[in-house]
Amino acid sequence: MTTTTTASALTTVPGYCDLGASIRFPRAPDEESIHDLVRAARKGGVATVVVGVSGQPPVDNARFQAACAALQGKGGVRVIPAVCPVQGGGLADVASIERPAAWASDDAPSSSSWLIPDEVRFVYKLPAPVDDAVLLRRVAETARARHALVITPSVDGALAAGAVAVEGAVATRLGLPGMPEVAEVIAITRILAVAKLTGARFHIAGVFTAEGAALIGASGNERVSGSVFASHLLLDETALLARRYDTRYLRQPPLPTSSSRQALIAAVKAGTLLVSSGHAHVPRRERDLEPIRATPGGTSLSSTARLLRPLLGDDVLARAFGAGPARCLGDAKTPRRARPDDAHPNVTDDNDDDLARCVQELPR
Amino acid sequence: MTTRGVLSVPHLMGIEGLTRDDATLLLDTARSFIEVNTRQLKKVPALRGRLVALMFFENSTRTRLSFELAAKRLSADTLSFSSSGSSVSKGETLLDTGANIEAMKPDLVVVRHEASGAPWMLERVMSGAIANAGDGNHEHPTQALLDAMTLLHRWQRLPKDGLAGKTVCIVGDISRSRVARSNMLLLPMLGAKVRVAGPATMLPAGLTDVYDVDVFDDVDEALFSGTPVDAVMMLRIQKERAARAVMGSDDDYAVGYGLTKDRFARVLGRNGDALVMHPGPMNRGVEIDAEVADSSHSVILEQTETGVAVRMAVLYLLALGHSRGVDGGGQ
Repeated sequence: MTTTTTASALTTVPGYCDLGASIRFPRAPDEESIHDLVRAARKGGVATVVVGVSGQPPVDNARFQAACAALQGKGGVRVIPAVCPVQGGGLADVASIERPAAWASDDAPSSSSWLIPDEVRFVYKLPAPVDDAVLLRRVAETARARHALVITPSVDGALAAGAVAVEGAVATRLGLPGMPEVAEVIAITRILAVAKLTGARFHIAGVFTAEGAALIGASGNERVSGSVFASHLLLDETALLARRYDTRYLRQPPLPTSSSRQALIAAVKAGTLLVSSGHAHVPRRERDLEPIRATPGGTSLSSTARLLRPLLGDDVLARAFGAGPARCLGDAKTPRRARPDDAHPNVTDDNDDDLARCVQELPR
Repeated sequence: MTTRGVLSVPHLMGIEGLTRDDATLLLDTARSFIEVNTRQLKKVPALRGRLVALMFFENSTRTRLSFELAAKRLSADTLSFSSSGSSVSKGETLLDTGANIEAMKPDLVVVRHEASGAPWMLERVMSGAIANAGDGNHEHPTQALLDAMTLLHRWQRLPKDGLAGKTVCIVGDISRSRVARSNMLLLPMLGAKVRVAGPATMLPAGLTDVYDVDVFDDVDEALFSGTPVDAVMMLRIQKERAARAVMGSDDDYAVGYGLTKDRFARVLGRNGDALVMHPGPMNRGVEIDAEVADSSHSVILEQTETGVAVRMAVLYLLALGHSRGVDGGGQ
């Protein structure tokens, strides 16, 4: 039987892979559910998404892993729940919570193409920067031993504390607390050193400075990768001036300077950096607050690919938001095969996507 | 562009956004209210029947009293709100508070808040003209206007003449000072040369990219090099715990950056007519010695006095531009 589909208004995408989404778990009723996130991924053509947990109350890792496992196969999106490897300033009891992740696959255990291969069995995600080099080393050593990829923020937590903008002219003009760009240089230098010491796999998410991108590019460590959030490729700090005190433009890390944004775009095109969504839903009650109190972040899974395509082109996007992140997950040996129901048409509805609205509402 | 007698902006969110014509109009209008304030009957009916909401989410004495007196001298009704003991202390958000005050239909809204950008947030839910009475580290436009008015008055200049040929040195925690930010915009707009000085930990990044000022981390270099300064504006040093991260002891600050008796004597040695300013409240013995604050060169109390006239001008002109208009009488 032949089925004909009219696709003139649709775009077929290769099945993107995102390492940069996070969700709150347990969640409040007005916070995004895992189902919402999967729906956004489908809309955005994202076939694989690593989901970390963030926010308050403190994360409940084991239950989160189980919830993701229960979801597999229902949304047509591979959801890889990340394990939070730290708790209370020390190592978390990862062994007891990472077991469900091993079988948290779409149609496990029959199809190996859906499983994380032996090279990367688990994904650890640090919800906040770990400035303590001793703890970071312990995380890395544990990850190395257990074949885990560690996804980490790119900034030094102490220098970044309270900042909603990059230190400089824009922050000074608006009277907003800023973080120096060197906050990223310090953190990435530490991560690279610990990665070299331990041999662990790291993915540095949310790179927002030119120097940070350059450090990752120059490291020569194939087990370390970095990505920039979609928002940071599409917007820079001048948006804070154009949309004065509009808290939807507060991101973590803060939006880059204009020159850093250009360097980040160049780094993605050159293959130095990958792209991730930075998807983090912020309920309205946490956003409708003064800038120093508002929670930064925003949803972007459904619009990342569509918005970046004109900026990066299809080939770069497929590499930086598809094959590249998949390789970080060990998919290089067993490339994920597209199945008929994987070819999600991009039917993005931007009404519920913060990034799309921020870009749209920015004065030209 | 300012049309005759009307501001080009609907709100006074900051000095940023004002034109030179706006500033001149505000200062000219303030001059006329200075005269009103010397009369035996210090009240005019300019805002009769209008409601001014005074929303002070942060502790304030002189600014709140000054705005309240300004509103009363313009015959406006006032609605006073302070966060302590209010629904804010019970967790109400700024927007919810604003929406509830809006339900009382104020024509003018005066806002003081510890967070930069708070007046912009209130603009979303309030329809009255907003006067920023200080938002976080961002701006304190009426303070800058009253500072400029005080200098013009002392130097017997008209607002249209501006402050050309004068040099003002602002000393203190520039990074956390909304007074400094507004003055760094207004004083150069009026033609003054501005120097700012403070410890490196109190100087924000990108200052010279934003403001037409010279920056010094050595106060003596700022005060004693180049053209003699005509006025020294000392900023209050925050003594709260958070400030400890950017300064040592009070004594250490006083020696390094305070306007001590000896340091001010050297200032007078270069310019015997130099003035001393402070937005208050002062930490005597820390950023300024008592002898200097109380000297004949100090215009600190004149600043407070001028503040009332400046705030009358602000309320009057904002009301004039407000869609519902005012009766316009009284001046």
